[in-house]
Amino acid sequence: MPNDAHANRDASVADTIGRVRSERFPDVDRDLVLEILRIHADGVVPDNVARLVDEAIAKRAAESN
Amino acid sequence: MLRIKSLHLKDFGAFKGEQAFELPEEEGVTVFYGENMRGKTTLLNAFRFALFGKIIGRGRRAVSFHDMINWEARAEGARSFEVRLQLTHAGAEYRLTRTCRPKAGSGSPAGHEDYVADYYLERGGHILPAQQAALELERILPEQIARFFLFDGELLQEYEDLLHGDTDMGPKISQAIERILGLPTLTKSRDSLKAALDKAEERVALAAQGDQKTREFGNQLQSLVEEREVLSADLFRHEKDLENLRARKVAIEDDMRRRERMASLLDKRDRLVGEVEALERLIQKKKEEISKAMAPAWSAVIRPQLAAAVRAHRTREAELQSAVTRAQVLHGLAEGHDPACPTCLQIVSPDAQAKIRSSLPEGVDISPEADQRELAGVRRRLDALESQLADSNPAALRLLWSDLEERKREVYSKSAEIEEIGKQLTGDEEDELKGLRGEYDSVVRQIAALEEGVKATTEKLAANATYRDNIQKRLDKLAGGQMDSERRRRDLASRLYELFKDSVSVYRDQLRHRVEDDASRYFQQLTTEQDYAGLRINDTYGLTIVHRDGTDIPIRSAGAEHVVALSLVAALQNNAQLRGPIVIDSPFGRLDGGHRSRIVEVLPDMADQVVLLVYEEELPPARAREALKGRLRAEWALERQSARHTELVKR
Repeated sequence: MPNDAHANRDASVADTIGRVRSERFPDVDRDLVLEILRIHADGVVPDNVARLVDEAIAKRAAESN
Repeated sequence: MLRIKSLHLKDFGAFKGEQAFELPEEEGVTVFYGENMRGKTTLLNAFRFALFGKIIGRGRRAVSFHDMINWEARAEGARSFEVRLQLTHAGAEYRLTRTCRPKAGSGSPAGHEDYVADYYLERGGHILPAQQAALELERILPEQIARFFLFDGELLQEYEDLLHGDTDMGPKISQAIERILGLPTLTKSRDSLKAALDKAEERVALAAQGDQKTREFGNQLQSLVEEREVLSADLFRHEKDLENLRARKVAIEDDMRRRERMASLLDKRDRLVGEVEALERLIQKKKEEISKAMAPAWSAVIRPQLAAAVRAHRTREAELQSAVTRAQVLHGLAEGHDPACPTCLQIVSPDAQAKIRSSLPEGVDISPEADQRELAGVRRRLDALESQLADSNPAALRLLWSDLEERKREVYSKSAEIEEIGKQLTGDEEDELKGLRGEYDSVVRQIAALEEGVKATTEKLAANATYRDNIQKRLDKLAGGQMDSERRRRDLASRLYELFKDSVSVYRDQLRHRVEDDASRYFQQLTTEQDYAGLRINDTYGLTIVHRDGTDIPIRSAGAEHVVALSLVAALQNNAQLRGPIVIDSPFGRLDGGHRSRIVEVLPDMADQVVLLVYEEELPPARAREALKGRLRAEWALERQSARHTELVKR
């Protein structure tokens, strides 16, 4: 039903995740989130995705030490 | 944005020889007019074949490649067909060529299995390696979402499944919808993060085992992690099996739907066989009744004489009865047994008695015994005669015979029908259908069992997570060394996982509302019913029509189903991450002229490039021009050359 109850219209997946991050997870690094999204872009997931995600997390965790 | 530049055909279906058309660069609609059997569905299939190597016929049945070679060309020696599609996508030029030819060594090809379809994809004039070409095609237009770009009325009808939670087709369409809307980027990220989190927990356990202070907790955590891995593997396997079984169930349902006519014939035959058996029993009973009735049937020959004898005996009975009564009265009065007259009830005087006595003949016995004896005899004969007359009732017998004949005629007619059905059913098809029904029941039972298994494993995993969480909390209090760094990694993975999990649900919710809003907007443009206010979406993207008083319209016609499905497709195109052309074959179904005009008017808003395949009665060219105005970019005709040869002619 058309109504104006759904004001929070994000323009893209990146916008949604950016908004959820800043509202509920401000401690999580924005660039890391975008990096994870980039790895999974296009819906076509590369074979080494698990390693890429693991490495991105490890790198960020080490930097925050 | 995917755009089609041109399509080339060679001996594909009705399109003999080499034929081609180009689509205008400007946004708008291209209409192809063709009467029935001229090749509109074949043209839709040409796109499908080029992109996915598939050809789909009525009832979503795959069409044999053997039948797709143009018949006239085949008679002249052609053994292959080809479709070439020129596309642009994300600024690049593509040329996709797919050819179907007989397999090497197949001799004289006779069926689908004797052919092979190969393709090559060129980008910017260079042929891409096979693996890269497959990935590129998957990026340009994934087959899973092809239903939103290439469709016909029959495919639109399937969207009703989205409303019913009990079908397995519904979830498949829902997945395709989320795919076109771009949700997989988020869900795949979330799943990768879950895997990363699991690994991080495992590393924390290993680090804890390496330290004296935390070893005990580390051991416990490690065994819980191992248990989780076993349970997760079980769950994964069960879910995979469940997915396969559900896909099999959908395929069987599909197959059964295609064989619906045969199934209904089988059901009808079984019902008729039951009815014939019941009739045979009834006929046997009737025959027994007739046999009993036939024993005295000979007396029907003397029925007139019997009736005359009955009449004569009735007359004699009346005479005798009267005589007996008279004699009894006179005797009683003469002898003074009765002081009063039985008729007038007056006292009979002695004079009157003397007069009665004198009127009686001298020496005649006035006792009625002789008449009484004769009367009893007449009555016995009368009983016998009437009984014989009843037994010889030819009308009753005629009724029995006629009933028997009627039943026999029914048996004959039903048996003829059974024989006719038998001619339409081949033994193989019947066995296959029975097999399918058996398999369907078995698949449904297996699905139920697996669902139970998945539920139980999920519960065990939840309990395992609680224990792990508990131990993690205790470990967190014991800081130190390698474990600290692993714990940071795990905490980060955990936060990321939670963030993506929340985002999936936020984004999915937004998508549903966007699709609902846009589908409602399109629906209001498409429907001619003023009382309909819009559409309401459910969790699986099923759309219900909403009346302006706020209530749902629970049942809708096939026509309304078409309009709702088109509204959904338009809304998805509007919100899709992947945009492209729409090719629609006869989308109007049983819609009236008013709805047809509205659909045509809305088509250019649904996609930048629309290819519409119709017959002229369905959409007269004048109406199309009036409705589309400047957005009608080109008109083509599918012109008959012969029953097996159609030419594409630009108007």
